[in-house]
Amino acid sequence: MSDLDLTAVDAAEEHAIEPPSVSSLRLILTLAIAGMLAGLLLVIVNELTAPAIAKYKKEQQELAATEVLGGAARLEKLVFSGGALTVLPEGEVEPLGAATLFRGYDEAGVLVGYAMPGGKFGYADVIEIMVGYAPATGTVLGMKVLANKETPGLGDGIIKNEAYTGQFPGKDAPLEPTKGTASTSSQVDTITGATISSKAVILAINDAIDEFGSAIDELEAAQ
Amino acid sequence: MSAKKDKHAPSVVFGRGIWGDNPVLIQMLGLCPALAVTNTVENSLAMGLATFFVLVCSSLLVSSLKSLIPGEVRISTYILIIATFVTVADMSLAAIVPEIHKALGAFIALIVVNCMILGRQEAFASKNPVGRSLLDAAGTGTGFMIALVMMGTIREVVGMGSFLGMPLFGPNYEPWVVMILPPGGFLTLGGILLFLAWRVQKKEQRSASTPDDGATRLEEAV
Repeated sequence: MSDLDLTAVDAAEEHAIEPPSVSSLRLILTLAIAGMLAGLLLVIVNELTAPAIAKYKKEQQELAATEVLGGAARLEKLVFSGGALTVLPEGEVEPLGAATLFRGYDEAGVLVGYAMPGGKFGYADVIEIMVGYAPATGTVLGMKVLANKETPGLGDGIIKNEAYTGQFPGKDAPLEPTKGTASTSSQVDTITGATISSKAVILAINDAIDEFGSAIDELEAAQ
Repeated sequence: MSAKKDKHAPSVVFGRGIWGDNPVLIQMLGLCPALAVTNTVENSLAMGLATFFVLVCSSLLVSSLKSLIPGEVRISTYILIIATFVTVADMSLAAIVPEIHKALGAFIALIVVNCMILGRQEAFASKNPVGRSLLDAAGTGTGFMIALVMMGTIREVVGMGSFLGMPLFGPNYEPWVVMILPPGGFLTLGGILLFLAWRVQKKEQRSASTPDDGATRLEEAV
């Protein structure tokens, strides 16, 4: 009897401290339903926008590959996994987490070279690039910066400074960064005031060729 | 002499967010995007439009659902609603204008934590009818956009010598690069606030002297 009274008092006290205006079930239900509706809406929007987003990404990649290969007429997609390159059949989607390379041919069907992705930490964040490379001669065909967060007006010279970006085609890999004294066929001048950013691009090209070069040679030898 | 303006009149509800209670310049809300993405007019406009969309949609939903949402979970529900519309805006921008989406980067997702939006839900949409909430959201969103574009214009013109990408001053203009860098955001916002405070001070001085004038005029009339 007394026990019962005690609990009654406890309950009354709790009630006084925090009067629940609605049951917790209703709170949970409200949030759950709101969450479900939000999820549903997002699934619909994702279904609608995903193709356009994927298409843009693909276009950007192919545009960059064509550009760094000096205007290739036909591109072939290659997948790099387990240290070897394999040709991806037309229309197939590349597996997640594997690097994608492109092999470009000119109008006559002659191999121009390979376009490969690269990245190196610059001044603010990783600078992502694509580099065109001709394995037969070991020369760089072209370079394009895909993504960067470098300082506008200084570091973004790696995109805007044509005296810098114009140096890459025809250079012999591996490249060597120099400060305004480039004389040999493998030396590339960095940008004054943006040495870190412009050097990172040069090193990213070397890294990419290091990473994919032997796999490309193997693929060439197999054919 | 004129009757006191009805504070629920559509023009008052809409106009308040644009000028008198401008979220950035008067309430000092949403300063993070106002400082971070206003380096060009284009980015400012895109950020303003995305925020406008999220604010109006959220206010519409919060206002129409306000009787269904228990007070204890209202903030979580508002955030859920806001986050949903932000993700919708994020995906739509990525699909429709990918270049701008790339430039705005993480700041689109960060609209979720723009306190201006949650502020309007808590202070207005949850207590007012749907129509009025929509007007309030549209006014506040427009005010936010105006403030952002104002900053974007100053920063782009001075920092890059262009407006919406069009060069203004010819090749001999040496841009003040600092204006498009983060410090430029603080300088611009500070400059605008200084100018507004100076205007308000002048107005107060003038209104402080008007009652005297009125009194003299009244005496003359009598």
